[in-house]
Order: sequence, then C-alpha cells, then structure tokens
Amino acid sequence: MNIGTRSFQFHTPAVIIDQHTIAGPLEKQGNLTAEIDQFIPDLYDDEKTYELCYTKLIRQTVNILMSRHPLTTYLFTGDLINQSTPTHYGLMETLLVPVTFDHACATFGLSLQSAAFMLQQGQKQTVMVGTMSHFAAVEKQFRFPNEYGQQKPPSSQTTVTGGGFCILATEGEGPKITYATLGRVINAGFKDPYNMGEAMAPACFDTLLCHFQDCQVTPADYDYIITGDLGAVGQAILFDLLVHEGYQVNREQLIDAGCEIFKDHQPVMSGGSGAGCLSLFLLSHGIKHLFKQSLKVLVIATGALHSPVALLQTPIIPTIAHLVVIES
Amino acid sequence: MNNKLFHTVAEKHNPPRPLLKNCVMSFIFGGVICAFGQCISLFYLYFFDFSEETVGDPTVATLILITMLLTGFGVYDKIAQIAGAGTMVPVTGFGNAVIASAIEHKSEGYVLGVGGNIFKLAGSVILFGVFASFVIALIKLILT
Repeated sequence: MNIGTRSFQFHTPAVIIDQHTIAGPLEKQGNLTAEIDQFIPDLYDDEKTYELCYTKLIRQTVNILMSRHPLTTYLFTGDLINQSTPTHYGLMETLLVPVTFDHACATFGLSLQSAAFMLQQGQKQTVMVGTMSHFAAVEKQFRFPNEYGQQKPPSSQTTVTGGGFCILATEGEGPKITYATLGRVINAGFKDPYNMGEAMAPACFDTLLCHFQDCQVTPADYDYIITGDLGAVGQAILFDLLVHEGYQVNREQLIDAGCEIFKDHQPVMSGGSGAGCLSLFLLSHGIKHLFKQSLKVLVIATGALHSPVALLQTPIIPTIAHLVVIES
Repeated sequence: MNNKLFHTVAEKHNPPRPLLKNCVMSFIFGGVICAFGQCISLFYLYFFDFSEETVGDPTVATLILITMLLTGFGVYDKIAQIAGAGTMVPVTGFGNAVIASAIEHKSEGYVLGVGGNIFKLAGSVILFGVFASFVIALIKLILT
C-alpha cells in the first residue's frame, strides 16, 4: 500500500528465511569473523583475474542457496562492474532470472524493496536477493590500477570484498521487511570521489526525512538506523543533519555497516564501502546477532551514481538512498 | 534541498589531510630514494666504465628495476600510502605508474590489454614532458 509520496507498507511482509555470506581476507581480520559463513584466502581465489574471482563469489553463494531452495526463480541483485557482468556470468549455469539494478552501493536496498514488492503481488513464494563486491575489481573499474602507489586521504573508503545473498519468502521464521521508502537522485554539489561519505549523507538524509513524514514516525520509533556505507565521515554528517532538523536521535542508534565490518586499526581509512558492504553486515551480524532480539530497524542503502568518465566530464556525484524497515 | 547546510556540516566533519606528517614523510622517503640513487651512481662510476655524464642511464634503469619488483610483489603501493610524494616524484613514481598499469591490464591480453593501457597513467607525463622540452628548446634557440 502506498503511503505518502515515496513509501510503501507491505501487508504480506517479506521474511528473510535463509542467507549465506562470503568475504575476503581483510574482512576475515575484522569484527564479523565469527558470523560470516565463508572466506576466500586471497583476492584471486584460484581464478586468473579479479573479475573472475568476483564472478566465482557470486556463483558460489547463489549455488549454495539454490541447493537449499531449488524452487526459487528470481534473483534481485546488481554489482559494480559494467552491466553487472560478474552477476550475469555467475548465473550462466543456473535457471535463475536476474533482475539487476545499477544503483551502486544502494543496490541491496532497491533489491530488497523490489523483491518485497514481487512477494506482495502473490506471484512467488520465494525470491533471492543479494549483492556482492570485490575490492580489486572495483578499484580497477573506478580508481587507479591496484598496484599504483597513490596516497589516499583519510576521508576515502575501502571497497569490501564479499557480500551476502538471502531468500525472501511470504511465510517462515525470520526478520520481516514491513515498509519501504524509495530514494530519488540527489545532487548536493559534492565532487570529491575520495569522500563518498559527504556525497551520500544528503541522499540518506532525504530518504529518511521522506520516510519520517510519509509514515508519521520519528527516529525514536526505531531501535537502530543501519546505514550501508556512509563511513565515519558520512555517519557524523548524517547525525548532525538529523539533529539540525530537530529529530531526537541517539548517537548509539546509528550503525554504519562500513564502520562495523573492519576493526579500527585496519587500513581502511573512513570505513568499508561497496555493493556488498550492507548485505555482508546485515546477513551476518544482523541475522545472527541483532535480529535475535525483538527489534524494529531502519536499513538504508546509500549509493553514489557517478562513473569515472562522467566525473571527468561533469564534476558532480549524484547519490541515492533506499530504505526498508526490518522488524524481528 | 539545502546544499549550503550540507556543505557547512560536511566541512565540519571532513578529516583534514595530515599535511605536516605527509610533508615530513615525503621528504624522508624522497631523500632516501635519491641518496640510494646516488649510491648506485657511485657504484657504476667506480666499478664500471661510466663517466659523470653517462652514469645517469644505468642508475635510472636500476631504480626502475627495483620499483618493478616492489610493484609486482605488491609492496610499492603500501610504501606510497605512507611516503606520498616521496615515492611519486622521483623516477620510481613514473616506473610504478607504468608497471602497475601493465600488471593490471595483463588479464585483457598483451596487445589490447598491456599494450593499450601501459601508458594509461604515464601517458600524460610523456606527452606534456616532451611538449615542455620542445617549448624550452624553442626558447633557448631564440635567446641564444
């Protein structure tokens, strides 16, 4: 049911009934080691290229879930490489229909929303949702060659290697998606590709405000506000913006997946990022720890929609944020 | 949307680049690389048949060979994160830019991958370097 301008309430909640997460070597040294299902030893994992390793990560995770839920037909996903090639190459041997989105790191949010919409229609009993990212493959696509000796500023973020896929169903045990608020493209005038936090925080703020107004709620109605990959910089900006707008929000209420995955001493600068960042955190720590209690949580996936060519031609970083409410 | 507010708040939370530390580090690393280069020069001068004018070529070649090994083993970018301009300004920085691009695009084949992308980063240094020397040569020609 449509509420307000861009929000929806799901009368048939989408339940996360199963999930599988996979991550790389740097993430293994981080905070979520005990909660991630599988690790790869290095960024190649016996493949010849980074892109093939990215494909293998997706293929392995999808195949594991397909073996447990063989009746699933649709996969809502997307990745960061041209036309989602790792995803499409990874699905060549499955019968899954890919529904891929190009919303960068916000893809997981839009995928969850779209999957919930499909279940709402009563068309399917189960659908698969998930995202994956690969540090070296993304670095090659968006920045400089991996071995190039360049000094990154403290505001930059590190793409997470890994991610998670899950099965959403109309019934079953698990956390439920009950509301969604779709984001719009925001241009707040930021143009530094080494500071994604400041560019994405306004989009996150816009979607949050829209949700609060549409659903007549405040941050106090939720236990946590989990953001995707704002990093330490973006999270601090979001907190100040919410306080400035007059919302009573507690600093401990804000959780950023990018900040949670890695330990403080790890060389990731402002935190993790990437399409797989939020899915990895939510489907490992979220499912295995947070949602064991009875919680009502806002989950916002934020993404920057620029490309290296577009940024050189027009120095603008448009951003977007998609929100879902998860209750357990 | 209130872009002015966004920029004011963002300004407050932007972690500043550690300029002083970066300057000191690049001074130390850049200096060490140059001193090391001088040692290589002296080595070639004393043990081989090179003169003060010709010793530059083997010295640069040796420095680039070492850069190539460090880049290939994935060490150079980690040093560069600490050293900044210290590893970028000397000839090792140029070598690293060429070698890193070659390694990165080897997966797309030797001709279109390595050949097509090897000067992806260093290309502008070559173009504008050659152009600048052409202009300087013209000025010299006119003045003398």
